[in-house]
Order: sequence, then structure tokens, then C-alpha cells
Amino acid sequence: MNVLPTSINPNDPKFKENAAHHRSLADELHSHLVEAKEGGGAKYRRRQEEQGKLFVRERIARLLDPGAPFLELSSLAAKDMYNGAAAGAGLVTGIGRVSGREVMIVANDATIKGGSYYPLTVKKHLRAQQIAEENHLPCLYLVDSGGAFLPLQAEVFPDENHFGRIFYNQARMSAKGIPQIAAVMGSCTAGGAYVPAMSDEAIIVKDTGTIFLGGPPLVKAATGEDVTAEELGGADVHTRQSGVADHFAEDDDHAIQLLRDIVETLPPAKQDASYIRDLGLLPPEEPLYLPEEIYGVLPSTFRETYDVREIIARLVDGSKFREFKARYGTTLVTGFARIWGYPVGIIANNGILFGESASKGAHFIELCEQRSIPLVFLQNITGFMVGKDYEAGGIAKEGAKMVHAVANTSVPKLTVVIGGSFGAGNYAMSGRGYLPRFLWMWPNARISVMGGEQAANVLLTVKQGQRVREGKEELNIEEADAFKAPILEKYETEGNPYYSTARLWDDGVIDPADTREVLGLALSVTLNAPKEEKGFGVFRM
Amino acid sequence: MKSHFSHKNESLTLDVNPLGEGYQIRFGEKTAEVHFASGADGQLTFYLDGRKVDAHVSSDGKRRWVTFGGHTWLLEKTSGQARGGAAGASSGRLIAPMPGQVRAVNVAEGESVEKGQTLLVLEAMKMEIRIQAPMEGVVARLAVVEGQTVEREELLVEVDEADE
Amino acid sequence: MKKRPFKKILIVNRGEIAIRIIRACKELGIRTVAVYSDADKNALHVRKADEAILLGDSAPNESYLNVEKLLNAARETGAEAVHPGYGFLSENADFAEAVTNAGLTFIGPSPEAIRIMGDKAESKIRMKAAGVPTIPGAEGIETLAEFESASDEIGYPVLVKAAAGGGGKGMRVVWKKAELPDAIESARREALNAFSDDRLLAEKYLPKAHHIEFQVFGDSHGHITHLFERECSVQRRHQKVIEESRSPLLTPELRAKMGAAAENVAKAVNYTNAGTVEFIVDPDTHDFYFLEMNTRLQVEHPVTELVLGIDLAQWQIRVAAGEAFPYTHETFPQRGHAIEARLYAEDPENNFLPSTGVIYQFVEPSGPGIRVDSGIATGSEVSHFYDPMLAKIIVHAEDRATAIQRLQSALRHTVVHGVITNIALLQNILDHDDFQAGIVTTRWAEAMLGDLRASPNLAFEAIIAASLVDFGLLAASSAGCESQSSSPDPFSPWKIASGFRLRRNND
Repeated sequence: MNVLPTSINPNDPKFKENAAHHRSLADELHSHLVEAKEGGGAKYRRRQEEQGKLFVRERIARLLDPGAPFLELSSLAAKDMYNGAAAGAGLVTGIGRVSGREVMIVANDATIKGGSYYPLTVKKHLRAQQIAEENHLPCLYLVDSGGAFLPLQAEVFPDENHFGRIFYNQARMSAKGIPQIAAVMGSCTAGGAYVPAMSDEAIIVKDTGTIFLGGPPLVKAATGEDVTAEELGGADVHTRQSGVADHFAEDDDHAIQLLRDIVETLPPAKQDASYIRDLGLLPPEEPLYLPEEIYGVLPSTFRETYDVREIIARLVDGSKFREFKARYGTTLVTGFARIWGYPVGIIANNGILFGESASKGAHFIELCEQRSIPLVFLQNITGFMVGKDYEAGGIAKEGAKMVHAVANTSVPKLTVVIGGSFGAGNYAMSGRGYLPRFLWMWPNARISVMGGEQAANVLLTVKQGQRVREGKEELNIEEADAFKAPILEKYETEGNPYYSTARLWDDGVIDPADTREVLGLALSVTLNAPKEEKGFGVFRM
Repeated sequence: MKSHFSHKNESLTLDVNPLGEGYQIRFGEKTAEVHFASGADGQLTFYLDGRKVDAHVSSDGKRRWVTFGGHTWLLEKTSGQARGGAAGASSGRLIAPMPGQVRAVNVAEGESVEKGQTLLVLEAMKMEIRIQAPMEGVVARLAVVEGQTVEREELLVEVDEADE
Repeated sequence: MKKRPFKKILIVNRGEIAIRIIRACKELGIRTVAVYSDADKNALHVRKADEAILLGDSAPNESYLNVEKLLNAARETGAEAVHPGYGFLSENADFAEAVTNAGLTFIGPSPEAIRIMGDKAESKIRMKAAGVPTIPGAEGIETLAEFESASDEIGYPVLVKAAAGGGGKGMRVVWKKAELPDAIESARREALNAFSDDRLLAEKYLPKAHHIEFQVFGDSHGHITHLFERECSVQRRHQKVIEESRSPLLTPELRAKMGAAAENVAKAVNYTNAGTVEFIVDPDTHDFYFLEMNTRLQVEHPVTELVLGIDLAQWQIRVAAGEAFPYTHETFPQRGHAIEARLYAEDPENNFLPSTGVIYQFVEPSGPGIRVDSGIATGSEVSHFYDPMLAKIIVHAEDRATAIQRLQSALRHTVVHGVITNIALLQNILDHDDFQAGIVTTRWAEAMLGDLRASPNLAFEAIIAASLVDFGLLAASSAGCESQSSSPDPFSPWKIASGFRLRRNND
């Protein structure tokens, strides 16, 4: 395999300027993440401690194998939404290793409105379940929630992908042999009561854990009966009388130990050993170049171009890359490499998409399909080439081929938006709608139907045409700028990765320097699921 | 994270905290730094405060066989602390597990009892059920008399745990 | 190339001895047929043999002791000879006869020799007649006066015991005449209760005795020789635990005397093939007494093999095929010292109860002068149906002290996980001053049991190792022990304690 050369010079002022810019974006990301990890803040955390409960992040830290990685998902969900009251949407989700096994952890943060489900809490919960289902990860639910956030019930309760879907997912996963385990470590009311009830095994903590369909106030209102929460649905009642929960835990620590014990005795992960053997894993090799140099490789604006191979060289084992069709459709780079010893097919944008680039992409996806090699998309796409010649050359048809291939391939897809994600390029490069197993964004990424500048210009052109038809004068430069400003601002806001990640259009914003590690963890996770049936063979186009 | 084991009825608790690259392990008074080196085919190598340790380990879920320094030990994993599996198992409030008749009362209020001592005998569904002291202590309250019929979950006797 | 004694041999045994015989056959170019029961379906001896025949149910009567099934197996596979190993049918004269009558060769002595030596009273009378010293005693006596005069003749201490005896019941040690009336009274009462037979006999009591046995070998051409001794004084309930050669007790004179006596024993029954004559020896007087003869290959035969450099199992086969045994004990000097330790699946701290289960890990010691005869491998199942002996670890070195050291080291490098073993007990015996001084007698191990079964304190390292397993750090080992961690994804970044978080400055 060829080792990718690098042409960067770390002492080049341009490199240093880029590096400073992207490092500051990474710092900003980390400060957002640190902020989010505080949950509802010191006051509520203290209150929880007084109840003898551990903070959600402490629960997870103690649940994980010591030193084990934790691949958190959508840490910044609901960022700047709901009046900034719901850091992480009041839910912590992520993949971690428990008793030697990769599991999906879904844990309520009761310091945020008592762990109530906002619309995005539901979405985040469902997304974690979807990842668990696609990758056959046992689900551990650390339940501590008062149920739906009532003021927003219309956006939480009734629709297909609302609250009820959580339990549908539990039932379907359980039927597929994906273990569903719940530990009730706080209140678990109304709909929430179905989380433990629908689990294969459930643990409940003495004193703090309660499960009931209707809490004491509702019972009082309905029947006039005066009961305490503990009498109504405490650990004793549920493990001794109702059988709604199976294991009685003295405290949070004990519940965590019981969870670990349960995971330890689960049947082994149904990994498709022959598939993994056929993949031919090798010991991982560090890239030749430092991942941190990505900061300096990336230009600070989308207008400047760079060679995406410089990024690939900092992600893959030994910086080794066997390129496919290097001389054809050169604005799309395709080739084989390994990440953490896992073979991958990489598809990376290296400029605007032409017809040839798209058909090359489709061809390469077919190769990976045939060889069952997972695909990694490095998305930085300003769109397809436009113009009379290209339309006449059938660019829409070429693009459609790649979209077909992406939509139908059975191999796991991992997508990282490393720059722009604009327009139809998003589809061909396995955007959210194409169900990649995971999708992350870099802090410099932007996502929208087209670039802000293009959008403003398109709208300005339309506006000018309108004025001409109405017999008015065209806007002068100042007026045009004034016209464009709000459009640019809207695109900048809505295309921002934090806007995206807050709405769960992705699985999180990641530090470019962590990308290799994240991809390695994710590739390993995908191997938990059995191989899917092949969709198609290779037909040259 | 805490790991709990028992070895010959002695319970052991390790407190394990991840460090940058290894673990800090606390066991009783001892504190040590452990760096994992390799583990395959039942052989485990790690560094304990910089000293290389080779061990053989096998596990079948609950039990751990460990060979180190020419000796083999069998450890059992536990869920930590002598915690009762069910509510009340370790509490001194002894209740009737099923409806029945009190056949015999062997103790009086204020009497000291040993762990496992039969306090009273309940007959239910033609079975004799021995109600035994869950721990060493003193009979604080005797709620039934011989011949009395009791309902399920009715309190029979309360034992206060002996002070250490 | 040497002529093959047989083309195919049926081995009617299991475990380490079956494997030992298979190994001998392979060297001689003989095909082997193993037999097995349901419980042994996946046993090592079945895998090692060229062919294997299922006998049926695991109960020994339905399998390894079922003569008809065994003979059928021989017929079915066309085996020419049958090797019985030790235990099971190895000392059953009827079986030896049935094998011969079926037109096959029984690898062992004649049925007649087996029969005579199998009858302990008969054999004692015969040996007395042949001039071999036997334990002095008196039978058929009843009155106190008779006991008194018999005891005077035997010399105190005397053992008064039930004629129908066994298991230590109805047995009294009498140190002086005055104790006789009480001892007879109580022994008689106990004998009556235990055996419904109050007949008693008197016998010389040896408070401390060494168990020393001589290997003998005879061929069908009338040649009989002894092949020196093995000392097996470390015993628990008549179960040998550690055996060695040479005996630390024997002087060259005593060795010669006992060797000659052993040859006389064998000659008295026209013995052929390998056998063992067992004696007990008074360490103070050097008086020795015939105990019994075992008409088969002994468990502890490797000790002799190492010291003499001879393959007894092979010679058993060759002699059975009619070949002359060309050696005498003078052919071989006793080279250095060999010790064998028997590894049992039993729990010394729990009344030596057999321990059953799946062997999760079995690591044999190896190195110069270390031999392991084992019947198990990682993944084997140890069932309650058969003898709990797992393996024998045998070492050979230039002298006794070095051999002890070598065996200590070998035991430190023996790993058995899945069942409880007596390794700690073996280590304690080897470490003991009495053993190292070579003054251990047959009652020593029982008397010292309190000390000997002490287990080492739990090491901090061991607890850490046990807990590290839970972090999924141990890419799992073995069959029967497959855990989550036996993932086919060996280089997974999840297995590294990287503490990775998406957020920098980890909490």
C-alpha cells in the first residue's frame, strides 16, 4: 500500500494561522462540552446528593469498566433551546464498556427538570436506541425521570417518533435478542414506568427508586387515597409484591454493581465471527503524521481549497492508502485503508462534484459492498457542478447513481462532516437521511441546503428580476448587501454545527484530533451486528 | 468503581479508579498503581507499583481462579456488602411468608439469639416453616403466640441486631 | 526396524494411564483402540487413540468394568492384545482369563498369579512358605490367655483387630500386657456391631513404618528380576500421594536383601510381566515384612523408569508378545533420584472431597528432568464417576535434594483452574523438614494433616488479577470458559483503558 506523502510545512505562517483558528474552534467545543456535563447545575446536584443519589455522570463513571472509553452521543443536544434549561436534553447517552462488553447507556439527568422528557430528550433517547439496535448493543437504562415535560406534551407524546416509540423499540430489540436492562434510580412515573416494565431485567434502588403509572398526587385526585411514593411503588413493593422489578438494590452503587453482574452473565455478543475473520483485522498502526496537524491543514474559510489526502493521512493506519481511480473524477477521493486495524473504504470530497466523480463514487461503493468493507465518508461538499454543459452531460443522472449506491449498500457507513455539507452532495455523501450508523460534525462544519453566500446571491438575483419586472431600479451595492445580510445571518446560524447538534441532526460535534479514535471505536461497535445481506454487485459505469 | 470478592467466607473490596494510563487500586490500607500490560489465553501481565506481575486467571462468571507465585486461589465475585437479595432479608422484622398457624414459639422477648437460631415454627400448607434469626441479636418484640393463626406478611417477631 | 509385537492393542482404561500406554504403543508402531463411556466422550485418551469404541453409560459397571462390552470392542476392532492399565479390571483374574479364552493376549501376569495374589490370606501363607518375612500374627485365638501368649511371642506393641475387619473398625493398639483385657473387650464389641462377627486376631503393630515396594519383572521364559525400589510412605488413608526412588531409608545391604525377597515372591507364583511387591519396613530395626503384591503396572511406575532409563509399559507389551526380558537389576545402576507427586482434584480443606468441573486452564510444568503424565487438557471435564487423579508430575535429578527442589519448582509452574486440587498440600509436604530429612512414615501425613493442608494467604496480586478480568482485559482463554471477552475483535480500541472521552480535561 502506498504511504501518503504530506506537503505541509508546520512553520508556514498560513499553516500556523489555520492551526490557531481551528484550535480555537476545538477549544470552544470543549468548553461547550464541559458546560454541558454540569447538567442542571450545582444546586440541583446538591439536592440529589442529599437524597443519597449519585449524579448521572458519576453513575456512568462507576458503571463503566475503569479506564474504559465512553463514546458519548449528542452531548450538546438541546443546546440553547428551551431557554437554555436543558443541557444535553436532560439525558446522557453513549456507548461504553461494562464488564468487558460494549453497551449503550441511556441515563436520565434528574438535575434537569427532574429528568423530564422534552421533545429533544425523546429524540435523543430514540437515537440511542436506534444505534443500539443497528449495532446490537445491549441497552442499560439508568432511569430517573418524571416522564414527559407536560408543557410541551404535544411535541412529546402523540406522534410516531414520540414517547411511545421508546417502548416499541424496547420490545423490538428484546425480540431480536438485544438485552434491555433497567435500573430505576429515581422516580419513574407514568409512561416512564414502562422503561423498567418493558426491560428484560430491572433493578430498583431502595428509598429513591419508585415506579408507578400515577404518582401520589394523581392517586389522591383520582381515588382520594393518601399514599406515599414508597408505599405506592417503592423498591420493596416492586421486588416483593408486584414483580415489576427483579432486583433490590440498597443504593446507587449496589444497583451499578448489579447491572455489571447482569452484563457479565449475558450471552456473548452475537458477533459474526466469520464476517470479522473475513475482514482480516490487523494490529493498529499510528498514522505517520500527527492528528493535531489537521488543525493547520484545514483552511479557515470554505473558499480556500486543500488536498483532503492530507486529512486521510492523519486518520488512517500508517498513513497507508490504496487509492482507487486516482486519475478519474479527481474531485472525489476514494480508496482503501485501515483505521485501528479495521479495513475501510474511504470516500472524501476534494472539490465540487462532477458527473465522473459521482459515478466513480458509485463504483467504489459497489466494490466495498462486494468485499463487505465498511465505508467512511469525509464530507466537504459545496454541491454538484452546475451549468448548461453539465446538465446536458446528465450530472443529475450521475449523481443519482451514487445516491442509489449509498442508499442501498449493506455495509456499515460512518460519516464525518469535515467542512461544508450543502445541497444534493449531502445525499451522495451519506447524510443523515441515508442512515449512516454514525454521523459526526467537526466544529468548522456547516450544513444547509446551499451555502449562505450562494443562497443570498440566488435570492438577490430573484429579487432584482422581480424589481425589473415591476419597473423598479435594481438595488445598488449597499442596498444589495443590506438585502443579503439577514439571509447570510440566518444561514450562518442555522448552518452552524451547534445548531445542528442541538437538534440531533448528527451524533455529536467532535474534535478533529479525536476523529481517528472515534472512528476506531465506532468501527468496533458496528462489528457487534451481524452482516447484512448484500445488496448488489459491481457494475462499471 | 468497586470490585467485590469473597475468599473463604472473607469478603474483599477493591476500589479501582482509572488514572491516565492505569488504575489506582485501594484495598484496605493498601494503595497501589496498576498498569495493565497484556492479557491473552488466560495469562495476565500487569505492573504493580512498577513491579511486573504474571498471573493466570480463569473466570466462569462468578468464580475466578487465579494463579500467582506458584499458588492458586479461588475467589468468588459478589455484589458487595452482605446485602440481602430481597427486602427484609437482612432486616430483623420477620414476617409470615404465607398464611398459617404458629406451631411453636421458642424464644421470649428480651432473649438473646444467635444467627440462624429457630425463633418460631409456623405450619402452613402442611409444611413446617422455621423462622430463624437473620443475625445475632435480641428479640425486641414477639408479635404472636403459639397456636395463633397468622396472615401472609403479618409480623411474627422482631430482632434487634446485636451491637458490634 | 524391530518387529512389531502386535499390530493393534485394546486399552481398557482411561485417563493418564490410557494415554501413557498409547504413547508406548505409538513408539512400537502398534495401533491403539481406546474405550470410553458417555462421560468421557471428549476425553483426551479418546482423542489420542487411533480408534475409540463407546462402551455406554458412565457408571463403571456399564463401561470400564463391563467385560462383555470390552471383549466385543476387541473383536470389533481386531485388536490382538488387551492392556488393562491399573485399577478397573487390571487385577481381575476372571477378566484375564476371559481375554485369553477369547484368543487374545492379556498384557500382564497369568490369571493364576493374579488370583493367588488377590487373596490376601492365601498369599501370606504362600509367602511364609517361600521364606519371605510376613507380619507376625496369630489367628483363631479366643481367650485372654491365648491372646497373652500370642502377644508375648509377637512382641509388643500388638494390634488386636477384627478378623472380618476393615476401615479401622474393631482395631486396638496394645502397648503392654495390662491393656489387653480392655482392648479385646472393646474391639470385640465394635467388631460385632460393625461386622456381626466378633472373631479377633492379633498382629504385630509397627507404630512407624516405611512403605517400600520393589518393581519386579518376569518373562515367559522363566526369567524374573527385581528392578529396585520405590518408597511410598507419604500416604493418606492408604492413598499414595508422593513416591520416590531411591528410598532414603535403604542401605545397599537392605536393598539387596529386600530385592532378593521380592524376586522370591515373584518366583513363588511363576510371575510374568510387570508387578510390584510391597513391604513395610521398620526404620529402627530394618525388619521388613511382605504386605502384598500388585499384579499390574503401578501408578508410580515412572519413578522407576526415570531412575533406570527403561520403558516399563513398552516392555510389558513386548514380554506379553513372548519376547525375553534381557535385563537383570544388575544391568541398571540407579541413576540419581526421581520423585512423583500425584495431582488430585480434591479439596484438602474440605475433607478431601473430590472436586468436579470443567478444566478452564491446565498448564503443565516443563523443563529438563520434568515429566508430566496427565489425562486432562484445558476444556476437559472432571466427573464424579472416576478416580479424581488428574496428572502425575515426575522429576528426575542427580540427588534427592535437587529432585525435591525441581519438584517444588514444577508444582509452582503447574496451573489447574476449574477444579480444586491438592497442589498446596503437595507443596507443604515437599517443604516439610521431615520429608526433606527422609524420615516420613506411613502415618505421618495423617498425623500432620493440620499443618499440611494449610493454604497460603491470599496474595494482593491475586485479588488485583481477579478484578482486572472484569474490565475485559483478559482476551479469554479456553474452551468451556468462553466469556464476553473472547471477542473475535482482538485489537478493539474498546479493550484499551484509554479513558477516552470526547471532552478534553477528563473528569
